[in-house]
Amino acid sequence: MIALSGVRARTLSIDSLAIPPGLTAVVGLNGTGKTTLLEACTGLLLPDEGTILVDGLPPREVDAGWVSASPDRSLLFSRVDDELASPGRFAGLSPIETAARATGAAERAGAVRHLSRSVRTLSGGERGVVALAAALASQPTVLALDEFDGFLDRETLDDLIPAARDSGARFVLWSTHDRELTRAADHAIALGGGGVAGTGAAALALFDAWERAA
Amino acid sequence: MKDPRLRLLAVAALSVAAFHSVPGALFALLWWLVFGRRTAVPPAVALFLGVTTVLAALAASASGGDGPSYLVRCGAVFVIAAHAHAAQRDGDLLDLGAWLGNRAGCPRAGFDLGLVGELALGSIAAAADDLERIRFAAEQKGSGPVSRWVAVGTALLFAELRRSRDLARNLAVRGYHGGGRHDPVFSSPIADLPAAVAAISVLIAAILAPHEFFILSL
Amino acid sequence: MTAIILERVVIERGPLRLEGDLRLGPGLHAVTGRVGSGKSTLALALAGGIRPAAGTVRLEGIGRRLWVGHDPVVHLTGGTVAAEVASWRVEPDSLLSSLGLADRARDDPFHLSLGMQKRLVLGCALAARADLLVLDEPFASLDLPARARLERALTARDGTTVVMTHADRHLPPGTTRWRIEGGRVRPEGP
Repeated sequence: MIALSGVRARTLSIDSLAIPPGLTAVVGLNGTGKTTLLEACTGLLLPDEGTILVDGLPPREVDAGWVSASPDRSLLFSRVDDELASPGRFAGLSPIETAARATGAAERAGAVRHLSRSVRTLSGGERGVVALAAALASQPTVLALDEFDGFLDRETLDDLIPAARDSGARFVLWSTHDRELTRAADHAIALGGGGVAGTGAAALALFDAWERAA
Repeated sequence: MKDPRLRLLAVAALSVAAFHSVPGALFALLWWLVFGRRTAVPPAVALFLGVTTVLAALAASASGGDGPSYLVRCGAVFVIAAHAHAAQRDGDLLDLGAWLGNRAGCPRAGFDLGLVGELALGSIAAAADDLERIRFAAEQKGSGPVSRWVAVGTALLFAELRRSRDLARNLAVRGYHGGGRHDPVFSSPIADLPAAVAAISVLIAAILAPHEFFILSL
Repeated sequence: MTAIILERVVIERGPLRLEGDLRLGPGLHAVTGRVGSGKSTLALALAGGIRPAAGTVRLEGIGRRLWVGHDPVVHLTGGTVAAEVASWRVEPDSLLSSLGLADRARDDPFHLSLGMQKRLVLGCALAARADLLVLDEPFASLDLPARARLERALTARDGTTVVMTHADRHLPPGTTRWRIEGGRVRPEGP
């Protein structure tokens, strides 16, 4: 369980929220704090007030994965192989273990055909797929996917939803504007009005309200 | 040359030979004609290097130095440098740094050196991509040339600030705390041996040959 | 009448090669294709940012061409949100209130969220009234109401509008559809 209490971070304030294990869709209009919530739960942002505990531990002591909205921003290396091997290499694993982790992550994210490619030759969507694979290779407890479906076509996205769910990460937080993804998720949290606007079916129902408002 | 280790060795030998003397420079150019010409150097880079070399030689002449000798030696160094740049492949620096570190008994320093080189090269390439898009975006706004360049500079600065923040974040979530383990596998160096041996021979020939026997240096 | 005509055009960029023989007349056009098929490259080529390797691009009744990339940050050159709007030669006050950004006019545009930056840049590009407007993944990062507003603005626009997108269900009826497949740009079947 990720437990938030009395959290104030940037424009977001959450008195109490519990996020169970599994795939959680985080939805809300632009500027309602989706990125802020993901950053706080992965320890990339320290809240101004309040506490967040991931299974009883502060987020900074828990392994995290992050994939940004702009896929270019989630990659470090010029070769896809180096990208996927980096968590194993940084952790000092043997080359065999590192390679096994990288291949496993590439298989789960559907990035195997990109393995020997140069990152420069990948399109935005392909970079997103590689970024997800690299995040899986670090075997995170909390995996945050920040609106990264924005650049993926329906087919790619439909492949990645089960990949994210079966990633081995105990908590997957995926911020999105996609209704189908939200429906497919195990849980849903809607942000709005400076805090949590609803969870579960109430969050999903907001899509109808937004479509009516449009 | 595919093996970055032999390429580094060859480039180092040729650069020293070329700068050492005019005969060394000519031997180095000969090496390039035989082994290096297949790597394409972008015309803009070639033009820049050519103009810089000629200007430097003119300046050396004007200040009483040996302009023609300088022209030939630095010209050759630039040709070798441009060749090294064009022959560079993705990931070479990471592999090379880790290999050197593993061999020298300081794997941590070698890994970090390679990583820094790799990330720096990547940032330069990314900044070049950013600049292309930013320049096109600014051009479309239709402002005057001066304000356009100020705008491009501002946008590029912010893009690079954001990039360095992303870099720090990505390193953190991948679990980087300094150092790492990497045993690079190189493709067979046998194909590169002739070029490497030739480069070493160029260096030896440059050191053995009389310094100024050539007509250019008279 | 505005049109951009690609005659046996070949576009090359790195390992990517695209061929197209097409005419994009007035109204809204959408180009779809799987990730990596070359939508962003075609967008730049239509806007004049990449010269084709072969063939000719002809413009009819098109003076100003405008391209908006998928990452709004490359467009931001103003120190404040209001200055950013002014840099597109658009009057800030009315535009910012219609974008819901009136209270952020003096903020640094780099501090806006990605979705807000995207709204800002798209709003400016639409208000700048180009004869040819090329938008790369304009719906990505926008919330649903903002997407619906964008859809309406695209339909209401004069001139030729080309949208590169994978989210084809956001496209209004009457959109001319194209698809990139196997390195070729073709009209999509009815």
